[in-house]
Amino acid sequence: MPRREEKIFKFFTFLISLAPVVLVVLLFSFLLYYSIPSIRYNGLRFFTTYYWYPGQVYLPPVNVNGILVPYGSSFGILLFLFGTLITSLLALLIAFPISIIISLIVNLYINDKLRKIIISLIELFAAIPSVVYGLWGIVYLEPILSNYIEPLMSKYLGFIPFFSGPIYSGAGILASSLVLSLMILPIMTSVLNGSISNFSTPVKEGAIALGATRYEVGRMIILRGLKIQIFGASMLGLGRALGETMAVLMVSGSAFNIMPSNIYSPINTMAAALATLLDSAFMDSTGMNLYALSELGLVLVLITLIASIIGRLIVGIGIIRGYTRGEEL
Amino acid sequence: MKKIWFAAIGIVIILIAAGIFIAMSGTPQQKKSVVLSESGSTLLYPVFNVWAKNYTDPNYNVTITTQSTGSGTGISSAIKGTVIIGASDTYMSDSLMVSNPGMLNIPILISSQYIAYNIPGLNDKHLVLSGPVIAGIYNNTIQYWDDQKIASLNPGISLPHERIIPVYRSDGSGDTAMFTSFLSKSCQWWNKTVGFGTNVNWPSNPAAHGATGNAGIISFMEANPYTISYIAMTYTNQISGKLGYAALINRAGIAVLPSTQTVMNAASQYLNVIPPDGRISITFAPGNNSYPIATFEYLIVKKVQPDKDTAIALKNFIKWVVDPNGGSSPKYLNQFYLIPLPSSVVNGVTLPLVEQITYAS
Repeated sequence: MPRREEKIFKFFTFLISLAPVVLVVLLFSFLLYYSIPSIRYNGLRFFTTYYWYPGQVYLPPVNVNGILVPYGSSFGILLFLFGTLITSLLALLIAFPISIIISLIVNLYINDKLRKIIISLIELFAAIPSVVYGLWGIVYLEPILSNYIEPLMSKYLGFIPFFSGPIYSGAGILASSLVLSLMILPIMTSVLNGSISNFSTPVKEGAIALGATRYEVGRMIILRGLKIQIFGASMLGLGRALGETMAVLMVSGSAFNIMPSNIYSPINTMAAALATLLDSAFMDSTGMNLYALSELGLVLVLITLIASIIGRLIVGIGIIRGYTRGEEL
Repeated sequence: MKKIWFAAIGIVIILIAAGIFIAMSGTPQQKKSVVLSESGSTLLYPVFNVWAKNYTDPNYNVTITTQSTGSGTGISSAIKGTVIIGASDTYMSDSLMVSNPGMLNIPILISSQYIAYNIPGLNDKHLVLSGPVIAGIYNNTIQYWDDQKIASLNPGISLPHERIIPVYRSDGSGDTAMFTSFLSKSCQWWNKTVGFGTNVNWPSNPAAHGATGNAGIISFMEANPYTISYIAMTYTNQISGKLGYAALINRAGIAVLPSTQTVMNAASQYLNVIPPDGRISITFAPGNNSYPIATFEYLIVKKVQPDKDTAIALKNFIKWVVDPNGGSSPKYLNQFYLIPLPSSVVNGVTLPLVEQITYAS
């Protein structure tokens, strides 16, 4: 029979283990509760328009269908939603091949000592605060982009849609995507490197014994065998890119009320908009600005949650299959 | 016998402890401690830090804690009572006052801003701009620097045919409120569709960019020629030699450069019309020599403070802040290019508002 202490211990650990679940539920209900007036006022327009109009808070509030809102206010997140997705996906597109190449090179062509040094350096990059990446983006990246790279791109790649000018500054979609790609590169590389170095050595050595070159081992064996892990690493990178605030805020050009016309245009993301719009939302006596921001936050949480669930599902299935086929260690 | 010894030792220990306590609390001054927490305006934050370091109260040990959070957060925190002082670049709107009737908007200083631009070759000249022209630049109807509407205000200056890049504050800001208030009063279209506030319905403009904070605006403008934006006068040293700034057409139709004097002139136009609650916009002032962009800086406080000591210490502090020999002396304000209130406003508006502060009995 268990002793009394053990029972108490069990009870409290159970209670604490519930905390993550409770916190997520609380967070959701809080966001949902605060979003309700905005959902009622903005309806579908919230997703189909790109105007974020805080309204004239110094004028008397107006009554729209029984809801008090600032005069001239209207809230749509299409621009922020598009900005979040486009910058994250472009960042993934840039970081994906680079991280695969780096992790293959360090595992196939470089000796153990050097590999450890390179990998720990790359992991060090993951620890750099995002605001430092943003600073680098403003000080070095933006001038290079606007003075050299973007004019060249517009000139020689202008035949591709969204690649021709006009170019107003270095801040915008391209700068945000590049900064983001640099930020997700370390995580993706580190995860991929872990999977590759864990990849069953007998298979690798067998292939080499059969006369395969290192390039063939990398392309035909490792990349094929690790499809799921590569996908998992990408989802991890995407998750970070979706929620990144500070670095993007600094190089995005903070567009409002206009959709980007090309890849050099200013853009805004959901996380950045949330951070910048909060202070003035307190000036609104009707609270509608705050409710709309809550709905924005709710949508952002849902998007990152969906990305993470899809990633986990696919990686999870892959791991189970891998075990049954005996590929995994 | 043992018990008596214990009792005796106990008494001695208590006496010693009491002695130490009295010695520590009793010498050399018997001041009570009061914490005045401040949060809000990023523009007032630097001067608040200097005040916090230099302020002493005759009767209290006052500690002033400061936070640079933004005017909206400052107002909201003061209403919720999480801070004693909310610092704000704008006054509370009528509807906020109705839903929070116990709040005071106490004017303490005047601040102003530049309309700055980065046009290589013209940054040492002061272009003349007007409210309607600036509104046109932001709403994309005036796209190039050599537009007829700009050229006609600046005869004899050769303007480049370059795309204008208007820059606004992406974060909520008292600077945006000042700027949009000027445009609202000088341009009907702006007043009707955009209005004024710490964040507004920005017009759609493909060339427009947002930046965070005055520092963010300045660094963006330095890196990108042909930009235009609004920058707090507090940042005079940071823009001098790097960006140009405009003379603005005021209500009298005369182009006026920003300076302490022209801003004071603008504020003094309102001396007789400031309402007793202190809430007034002083942009686009009448008068031949008035610079059209200026605002009162406010301390947002609760009329009824939680206790007597806080109330008295708060009153003393605000009185010191507006005292030309105290917080409003040039040695504090000049380095930040902030302008003290005229004494008539101090005596007629600020001090009567301060006297309204009481405490819950």
